[in-house]
Amino acid sequence: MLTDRKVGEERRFFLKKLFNFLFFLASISFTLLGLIVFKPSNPKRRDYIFYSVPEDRIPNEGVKKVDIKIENLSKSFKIFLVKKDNSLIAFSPACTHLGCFVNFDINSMEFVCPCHGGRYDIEGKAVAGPPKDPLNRLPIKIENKKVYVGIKI
Amino acid sequence: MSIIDWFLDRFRLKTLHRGIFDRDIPEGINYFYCFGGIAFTALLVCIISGLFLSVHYIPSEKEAYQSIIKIHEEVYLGKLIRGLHKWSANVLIVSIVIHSIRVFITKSYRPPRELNWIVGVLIFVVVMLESFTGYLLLWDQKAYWATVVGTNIAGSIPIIGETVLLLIRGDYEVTGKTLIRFYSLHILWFPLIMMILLWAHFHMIKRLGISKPL
Amino acid sequence: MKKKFYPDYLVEILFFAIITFELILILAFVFPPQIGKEIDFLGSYKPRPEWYYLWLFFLLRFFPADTVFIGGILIPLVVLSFLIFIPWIDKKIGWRLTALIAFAILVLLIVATLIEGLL
Ligand code: HEM
Ligand code: FES
Repeated sequence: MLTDRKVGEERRFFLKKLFNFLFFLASISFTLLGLIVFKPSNPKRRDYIFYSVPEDRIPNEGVKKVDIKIENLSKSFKIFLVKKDNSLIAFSPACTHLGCFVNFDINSMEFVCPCHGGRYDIEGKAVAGPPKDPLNRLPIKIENKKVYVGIKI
Repeated sequence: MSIIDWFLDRFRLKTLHRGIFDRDIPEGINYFYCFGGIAFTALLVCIISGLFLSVHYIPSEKEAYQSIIKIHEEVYLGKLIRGLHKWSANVLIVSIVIHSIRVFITKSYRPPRELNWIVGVLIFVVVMLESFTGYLLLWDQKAYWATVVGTNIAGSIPIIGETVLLLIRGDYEVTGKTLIRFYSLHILWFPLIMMILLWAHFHMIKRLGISKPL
Repeated sequence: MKKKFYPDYLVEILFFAIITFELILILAFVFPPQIGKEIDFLGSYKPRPEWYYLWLFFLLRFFPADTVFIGGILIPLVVLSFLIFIPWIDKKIGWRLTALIAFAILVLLIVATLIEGLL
């Protein structure tokens, strides 16, 4: 009799352990499954697609904001073209701090970020505020005297 | 037997009923003790107005903004329901803060109620996440840029940042995928977690009672 | 007579529930929500979060891109763990000191919110 009860108790102990284990297994599977489901299947980094810039939007000297129409998405996208010492630079407007779009301030000749007041000089170097990295430069192609700028969209 | 009695009996609430409803309330509690109930009311208004909004809202990149305009201008009482949802969220946050301050000042978080305090803090976190995910659903300028900035913070974590960013955004940028993701979190995941936490919160209040004022 | 949950306390709660509902209703009528501008990548736009995230937005000003997670995630997590551990912190250092820390955090949050809101 005594041993019977003991065996019963041991089995009960074992079953309790089993339930605990199953519970942990279920939680862990749920978490892993969640991570797998939330992870995008094949995120693609966008490639640069080149868009032509109208002739009259190319600055002779200084900075111009250029609105580029992206036909197939019916969206427009702004970039900044800077002509300095005869070289043409194209800047992405995305602030390197947290991604707000910067504006150009003519008075101070600086790019100013509206979010946390980051400032970049005309060559894109961060001069004030939280940003440290310079503004991203976009690739420029010149074919048949037409200017094309690469945008990731 | 009236129909109400019949339900109460079949749910076997008659005996439990006494336990819940016959509890003694400690003497000397003041009106600040009502802020838990006020938070709960605001939450209910939030949930109910949200239910109505979800009938007309379309969580897609192309249609989200249009569907908001439609709710606002065409749907009967749509403007009011949007207003209720927005303001109940604001009232909820304010009343939760006051409720927590009340709990802190009356030292009600002390044992045996420390777990209830922790559950309360978790509820607060879920409420903040709800408002973060809900904000994007408007899919307008404000919503879009707030989410760009907010998710970029997660992207700046060393080593795992990019993975976390992908998990949150579903893409490298904030796109329609992010919108659907946030919609799911906003109307299913977080409310579900909230229900579990609220159940725990109320269960412990029921079992432990409201703390005696000092 | 001892106060019971039902009906003494429940009626008070119900009263406040109705008041709350009315308050929300009035706010929704008097300050209806607006329709925002459509997303555009052209104009100049000053992004601002809702008022309850302004303090976080303010913190971000102090951290450059490579350390912004300190302001955006680590500091909120520290504040959060402080809140979670209040019952034990209270036991260790006493209520007065805990309250002082909590009050200091609250004041900082409010000041940050006000500064960012007025900027
Ligand atoms: C949706 C949010 C919340 C709801 C609906 C809610 C609801 C309630 C209700 C109805 C009570 C009964 C006493 C009272 O009304 O004052 C209560 C008590 C309590 N709450 Fe909350 N609460 C919420 C959030 C929180 C938060 C954020 C905390 C702490 C950080 C918290 C901590 C507590 C504690 C410790 C008690 C027990 C107080 C005592 O026994 O005196 N709650 N809650
Ligand atoms: S995003 Fe430009 S300064 Fe923060």
